Amino acid sequence: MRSLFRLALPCLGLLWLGLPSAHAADPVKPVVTLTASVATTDETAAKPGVVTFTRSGDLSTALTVSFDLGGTAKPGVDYHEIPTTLTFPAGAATATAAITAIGNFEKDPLRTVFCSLRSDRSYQVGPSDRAIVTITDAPPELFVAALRPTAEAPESTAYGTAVLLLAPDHSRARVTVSHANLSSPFVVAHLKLGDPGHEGAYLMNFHADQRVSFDWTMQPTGQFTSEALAAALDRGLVYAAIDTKNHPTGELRGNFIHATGSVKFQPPANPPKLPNTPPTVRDVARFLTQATFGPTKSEIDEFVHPTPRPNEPPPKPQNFNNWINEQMAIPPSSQLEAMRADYRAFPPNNPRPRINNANRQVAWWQTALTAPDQLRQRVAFALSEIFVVSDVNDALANNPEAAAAYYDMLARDAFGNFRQLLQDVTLSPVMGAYLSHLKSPKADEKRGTSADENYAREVMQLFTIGLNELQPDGTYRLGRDGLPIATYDQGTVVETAKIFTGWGFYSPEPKPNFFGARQNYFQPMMLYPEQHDDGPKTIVGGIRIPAKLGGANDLRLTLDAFFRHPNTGPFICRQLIQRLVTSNPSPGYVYRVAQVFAHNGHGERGDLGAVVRAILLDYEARSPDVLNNIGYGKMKEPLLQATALLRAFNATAANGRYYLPNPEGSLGQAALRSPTVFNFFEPDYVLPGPLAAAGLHAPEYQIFTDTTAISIPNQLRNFIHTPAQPKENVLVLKLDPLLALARTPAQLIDYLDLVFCTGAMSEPARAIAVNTVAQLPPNTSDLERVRCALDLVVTSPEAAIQR
Amino acid sequence: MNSPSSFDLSRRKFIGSCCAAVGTTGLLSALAQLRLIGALAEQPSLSATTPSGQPDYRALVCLFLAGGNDANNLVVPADAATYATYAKGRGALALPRESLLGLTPRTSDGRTFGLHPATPELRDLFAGGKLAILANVGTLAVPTTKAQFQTKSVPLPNALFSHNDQQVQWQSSLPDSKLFTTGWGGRLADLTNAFNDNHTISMSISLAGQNSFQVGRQVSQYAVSPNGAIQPNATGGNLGAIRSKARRELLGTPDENLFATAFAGLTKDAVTDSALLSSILAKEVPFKAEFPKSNLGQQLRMIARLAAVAPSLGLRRQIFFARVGGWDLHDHQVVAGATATGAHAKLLADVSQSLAAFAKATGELGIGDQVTTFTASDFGRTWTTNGDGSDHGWGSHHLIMGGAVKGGYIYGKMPDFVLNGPDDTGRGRWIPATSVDEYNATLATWFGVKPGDLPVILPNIGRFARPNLGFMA
Repeated sequence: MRSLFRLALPCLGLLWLGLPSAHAADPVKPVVTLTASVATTDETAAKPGVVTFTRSGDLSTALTVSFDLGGTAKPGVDYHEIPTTLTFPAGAATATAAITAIGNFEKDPLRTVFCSLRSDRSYQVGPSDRAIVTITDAPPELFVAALRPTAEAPESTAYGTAVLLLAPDHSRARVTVSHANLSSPFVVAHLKLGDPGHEGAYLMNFHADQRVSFDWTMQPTGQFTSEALAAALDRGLVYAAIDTKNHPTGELRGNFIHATGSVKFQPPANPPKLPNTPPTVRDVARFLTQATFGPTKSEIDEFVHPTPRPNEPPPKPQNFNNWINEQMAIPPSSQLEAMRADYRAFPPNNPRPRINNANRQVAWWQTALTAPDQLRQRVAFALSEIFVVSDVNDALANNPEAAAAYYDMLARDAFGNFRQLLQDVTLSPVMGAYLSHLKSPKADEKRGTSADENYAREVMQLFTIGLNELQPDGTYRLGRDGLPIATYDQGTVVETAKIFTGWGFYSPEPKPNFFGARQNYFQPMMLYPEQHDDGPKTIVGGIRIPAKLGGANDLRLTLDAFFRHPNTGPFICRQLIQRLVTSNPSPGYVYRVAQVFAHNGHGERGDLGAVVRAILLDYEARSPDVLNNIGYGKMKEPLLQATALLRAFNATAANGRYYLPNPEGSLGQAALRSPTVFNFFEPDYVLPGPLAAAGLHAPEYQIFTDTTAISIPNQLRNFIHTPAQPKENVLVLKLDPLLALARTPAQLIDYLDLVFCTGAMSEPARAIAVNTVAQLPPNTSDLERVRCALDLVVTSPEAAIQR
Repeated sequence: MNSPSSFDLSRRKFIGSCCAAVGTTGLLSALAQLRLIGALAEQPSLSATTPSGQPDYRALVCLFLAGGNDANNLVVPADAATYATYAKGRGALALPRESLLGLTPRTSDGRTFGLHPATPELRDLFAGGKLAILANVGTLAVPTTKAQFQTKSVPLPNALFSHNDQQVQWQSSLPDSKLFTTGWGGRLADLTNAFNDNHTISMSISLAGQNSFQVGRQVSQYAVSPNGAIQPNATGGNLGAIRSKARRELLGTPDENLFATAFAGLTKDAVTDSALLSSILAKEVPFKAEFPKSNLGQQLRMIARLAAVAPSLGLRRQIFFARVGGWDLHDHQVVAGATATGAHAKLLADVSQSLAAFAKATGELGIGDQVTTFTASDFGRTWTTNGDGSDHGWGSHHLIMGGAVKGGYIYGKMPDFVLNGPDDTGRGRWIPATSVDEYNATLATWFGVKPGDLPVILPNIGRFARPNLGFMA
């Protein structure tokens, strides 16, 4: 033991060597010894370590002894400092020194306090001249507060989390507060003590940028003692609150709750009821911006004031629910048919003509701009950015019709069940070619190969459950350590990879060859049982799939597990909301939609039609109250900025073709042409700057670069300022409805404001546009006036941001 | 078919957590800064001036020959015995021996080589020590022998012989990663951006639009046309000026919405940056070298101009990307009976003349030693012909040009040009003797990356023996 310590503490060893005669008894002086009577203590400091000093001889006078403290524990850091002298009172044979540990937040190894008696003329150092007290670690206690809008801020979509780690000795706490999506600028944040629902007593202020971490020393505050503070915390009476400009008495608030295991979920409060009044033109413009590739003025007007039909009573205004019903009933338009028709109508002038991806892009534009099933196509486009395949991949580049068929499949499944969609995507040879589970054989030990993990990883990470466990409202579930919990690990990926082995091209032949079967991108993949790994597997959530069930059963059970996983609803619903409505839905919004995913009201889980309806009819999509929240809305994807303009004025080319085969050049985006499986932009992309500081995700900004910030508006202007004699494939806007307003700038701008900015243009912006058009040189033609107005409005921030 | 390395996993996790957590975007750049502080302290060449007193400046130019260059006809065996093998193997594609432009490399493996007759400028650059040839380099997951290739006992690059995949792998330097995330040029920029005093104009500039090579996590690629900065259009004329003014005012309109504010801010910055670059480029062209009128010539001309203004942009490191297509010559590669002419000869002549002009211009600018140009391409092509063209191959020869290049050598190892021989995987698709990683690592090291940091740029470099092929001074 001693030699160990000499090794560990060489300087102390030297000290002992310097005292060779200390143990020889001297009959005159008292002999002092010491021992660790409580040799172990921990960071809770509930039972301090004790070193007991004992003296022999004459006890009638007081005796002061001195000692050294060493060891790996640092005084003032690991334990409270103590004086290094100790006095035996007269008459006392023993005296004690207490080693009181200081609690901290880290996980520490054992630390030692080494106490050794110093020699002195007034006493003899006895044979037991040293003692060791060991300090062991104790974990901090975790408290978590879900910060949610207060009753005073019902329109707020803000949310946040406060995590409080209480040091094991209750001396201090480390508090980390993060928040996002405040409706208005931050003012102040504080900790208070009080019953839920009541204004509490002030404890401390802290400035909270988007994320702040600070240590709170739990010294007596106001009328509260340290013990009272710890007790209040334990009873759930301490809360964090954030005041903002619009809500000076608190926009977010949450009480700290002792987190045992995972944090308990509390369903968010219901939002205010939407008024039961007919929609205004602005309401309709907003709705159609979310649900279509862009509204037209006549669609908006028809919605609010339907044209009377002969011999029928005057029609009532359309309502959103009925519009959705009508849209969902329209049969899906087919991109594949449209691209084939385009190829037939415009055969390439080439000795070996082949249908190509230009035909597919033409079909996409044609469908987006003219198809009657707008809602379905808009949702299909959203799905194509979640279940990503891309013709950047050679297999797809060479099979453009296959890519179109994949897109048609997304459109067909858009209002069906998610389980069906997941199966269709998984067994699509297009996805198989893209994420390489097409013709993925089982592991071959001889050749040292293992199963391809690509699809196994992405189907979990991107298509169903995501990386971290989620609460039903899409916020992270937290573990005992206050951190998010991973949904799966690499071992799960390795196991799941085995599920996706053995799937190859469909072949009608009696003995099809796994690797050699003719490529067939139009039928779901087929199982080749001999290539499937039929061993046992353990997939996500520890679900065991026994051996010898066969590939079809393996797949069914695995997709069922993904489908049933509690993450899948909030994970997918949040992304669909992001694509259609707003980049940062509140947890309440995600929760309400995810609840519909879990249960459509008729006992069905995963009804995507019901999910889309819930997204579009939610308070957060429909109520104008949320429009003033500074973090509400999203940047319109560049393709959607373009379709909005082209649809609004029914753009057509002389040859009838929608020939925009490479929109990624200017717009940074093209359907099914993402550079990576992570789409053009990711749902959690953070743009550094004020958006990040406000805790906002800004997906579309990932492709808004120094280059595209110029090339996107340039492309929009090219659509507007077409030459007088355009080539036959140039899309030309039909600006007739605007020409009538050319000499009334205010009405002209109002028209454009409604169609492109849902009538939400700010007064100063509107004034700039109106005045610019009004002050154009008198000889300016009506067409140029109209184009000028259109140019200014569609490239303005107001049109680029969907609110 | 093989599981990705454990590195990929941790890297993907890192990126995943990066994206998931708000406010961690600065982490990578902080890491890069820290690494560079170390680099600056240890390497005197990375201080503001080099020992020779020149300002510290370096530029890498990636010239991508899209479609797959048939380098078998760029660097051609010239000694009688090897030429005979060549003529027999290549058949209708073989160049006449007497047409070859003889090379005298400073070391030799016993065989002699000549360049395609359309490339006299390259021959001169090689003779002048400004051009090196790297033989038989290609995408490799690990060093690979023919036996290993045949039994698939080692991981191979995904989708060999496929254009898009191989283009991406050359540009990402991650041939066994199935998911593209970043290019090696982008990673290099992320790491070295700290050298630059000003980040207004990105250090990553593409003359050929979006590319995989320059995709980074921090530094975004900036597209410039051969004519200069891409500017807001429709600004000409009287109404154009009125509209521009109104647009500026609209971008300046206060809006509390943070998405609108960000949009306005980024747009204003982009317009300002483009105007800045245009004004800097508006000055007289600072060199007299004449470039070919071809698109490639004009791309390289603009790169020379952008390198010239690097000090005005506050840039001490730049990475450029140029691209010329048309190399996928399955047909009509050569003119029958006159094989020194045809589509391939035209492309090579353009490359040769454009590179020579670029060398001349950078020489005039006094930065010839500070700019290194290297070629990359999807793959080489089959040794045997399909009649009048060649098909997709694998390993290929590449060119490195610049004053800092130890030119006049053929680096790497030329294949044994024997069909079904030790280097052939069929039809003369050569197994690369040198990996793209080794090629890139040598360039990155010259650019200022410490050996210990190479795995940040080239995660697979540890799998190969030679992180420095020695072709850079």
